[in-house]
Amino acid sequence: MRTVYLMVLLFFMISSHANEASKNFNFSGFSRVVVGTLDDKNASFEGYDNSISFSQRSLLAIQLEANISEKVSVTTQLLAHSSETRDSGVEWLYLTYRPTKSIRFKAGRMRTPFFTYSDVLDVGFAYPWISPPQQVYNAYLFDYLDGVSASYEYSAADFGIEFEAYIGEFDDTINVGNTSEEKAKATNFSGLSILFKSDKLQIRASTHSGETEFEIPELDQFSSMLRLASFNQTADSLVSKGNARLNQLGVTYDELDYFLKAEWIGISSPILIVPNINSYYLTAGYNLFPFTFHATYANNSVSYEDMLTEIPYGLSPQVDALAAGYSNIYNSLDDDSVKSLSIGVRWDFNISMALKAELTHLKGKQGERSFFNITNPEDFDRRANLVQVAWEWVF
Amino acid sequence: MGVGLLRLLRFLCFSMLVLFTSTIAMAEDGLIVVANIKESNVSLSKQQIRGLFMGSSVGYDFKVVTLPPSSLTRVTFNTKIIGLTEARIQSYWAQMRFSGRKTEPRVFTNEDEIIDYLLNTEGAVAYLSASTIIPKSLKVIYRIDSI
Repeated sequence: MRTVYLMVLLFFMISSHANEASKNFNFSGFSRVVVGTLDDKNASFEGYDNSISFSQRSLLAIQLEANISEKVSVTTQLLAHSSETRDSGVEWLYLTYRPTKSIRFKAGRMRTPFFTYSDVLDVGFAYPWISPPQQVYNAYLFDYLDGVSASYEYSAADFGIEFEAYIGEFDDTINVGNTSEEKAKATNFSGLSILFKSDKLQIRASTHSGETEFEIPELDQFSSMLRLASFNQTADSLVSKGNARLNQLGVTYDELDYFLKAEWIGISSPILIVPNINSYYLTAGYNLFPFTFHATYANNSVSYEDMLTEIPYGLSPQVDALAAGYSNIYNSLDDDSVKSLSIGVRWDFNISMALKAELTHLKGKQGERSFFNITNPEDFDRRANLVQVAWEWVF
Repeated sequence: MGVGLLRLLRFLCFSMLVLFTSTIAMAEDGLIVVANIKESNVSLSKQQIRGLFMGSSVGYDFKVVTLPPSSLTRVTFNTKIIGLTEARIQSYWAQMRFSGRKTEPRVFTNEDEIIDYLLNTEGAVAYLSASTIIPKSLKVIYRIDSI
C-alpha cells in the first residue's frame, strides 16, 4: 500500500512540473484492473478460485526515464501489484548508453528477456490476451536479473535484425506456478536472442543458460545421508543446482485483418525440482478495428529424470527408510502439464485504453498438480474454466 | 447515467466513423512523405518508410513525427504503408516503450503544425495527404497517388 501512495505522490509531483521536466524526464506508466473467477470450487488457478477476485493481476506501474546526456539515460519502473505473490516496489532500474541509433548497452536490474513478451509481461495493453499462455510464461523462471546487456539493430531495405546478448545474476524467491515459493540463485546466467522482422513476419529465437541453484536444505541433508550410506548415484541425482538451459522460438504473422502467433520453449535442467519442459501455444486472431478476436491453444509436457533403483528394499529397516524417503521425494514432484483453450475479445475504445474479456478452458493431467492449487483432491477432475475481464491503460 | 451513455455512444460513433471513413479515405487520397533534408534526390522504398515510422533507422538521422490517431490521413497511412490497425500499432509502441527499446514519434494535432515543425527542424520527416500544398524547401521522399 505504501508503494501505491509513493507512486501517486510521484505522479502528481511530476505532472505538476511537466513542462520544465519534459526536456529531461520522460514519465509514463501502465495499469491493469483485472477481475476473474474460476468455475470450480475444488481448486484455484493462478490465484483465482470460485469467488470473484480483483487482486490477482491488477497492477499500477510508473516508468521514469531521466536523460543524463544525449546518449545516456537512467530508467526505473516502480510497480504496485495487487497479488500477494508479487512484491511491489522497484521492478527495474538501469542505465542505458546509446553510442549510435543502432547500438544500446544497459546495466542494472532489468527484466529477463526469455520469451517474446517477457519484458512487457505486466503491460497488458501490449498484447491481445489477458493472460499470456501460462504454459510458456509461467515456467519456473526468475523474471528479473542484475547484469548487463548489449543489443544491435541492423536495418536493410526489406527487413531488420536485432541481436541482444546479456549476462547477469539473480538471488531471490521464485514463485512456481502461483503455488509454491522457492529461494533460488542464478550466477553467470547469459543469453542471446535474434529477432528477424520483415513486413508481416517476425521471428525470434533465443537461447539462455547458466548456473542455477535452489535453496532446499531438506533435500541437501537427505542427499548427504545417502552419500554416507554410499548410495552415491542416488545422492548425486538429488541435485539442487546445475546448469539449466532454455531455448525459445517465437513467430508472429500480421496481416491487416488477421494475425497468427506461435511460440515454443524448451527447458532442460539437471536440477531435480525443475523438470524438463516443452511448452507451446498457437494463437489466431481477427482484427475488426476497434475489436480484436482471438483464440489460443496451449500445451506443455513436463518430464523428470527417471527414478533410480540403486537403493535396495528389504536389506534393513534403515535402508528401507532411505528408499522410502527417496520414493517420497519423487512422488512429491509436481507435474504442471496442462492443456488450455482460450477465446477472447479486445476492444480498443480509446487510444490508450482497452477492455478485454477472456474465457480459458483448462484441462490438467489426472492426479497431477497441473498449475492448480488443489483444495479437494478427491473431487477435483483437473478441468476448470477461468473467466476474466480486464481494463488496460497506458499513459 | 445519461452522461455515461452519451460517452459510450460517442465512443461507438467514433469507432464506426473510423471503420466507415477508412474505406472512403483509401478511395480518395494519396500520401506523400515529406522531409526537411538538404539532398534533393532522396527516395525511400515503401519498406523503408514503414521501418522508419516503426522506429528503425534507415541511414539518415531522421526525426519522425506523425498526425494524431483521429486523422484520416493517418488511417490511410496505417492501412497502406504499415499494414496494421491503429490498435495493433498502439500495442506495438507500448511494447517498445515499456521494454526500453524505442519511443514513438511525436504526435502533432494537424497538418499545419506538422509543416511548421518540418520547416523549423532539420531532419524532420512526416507523412501528409497528397493533396497538401507543401513549401518548396521540403523534399518529397515517397509518394502514393490516389487509388
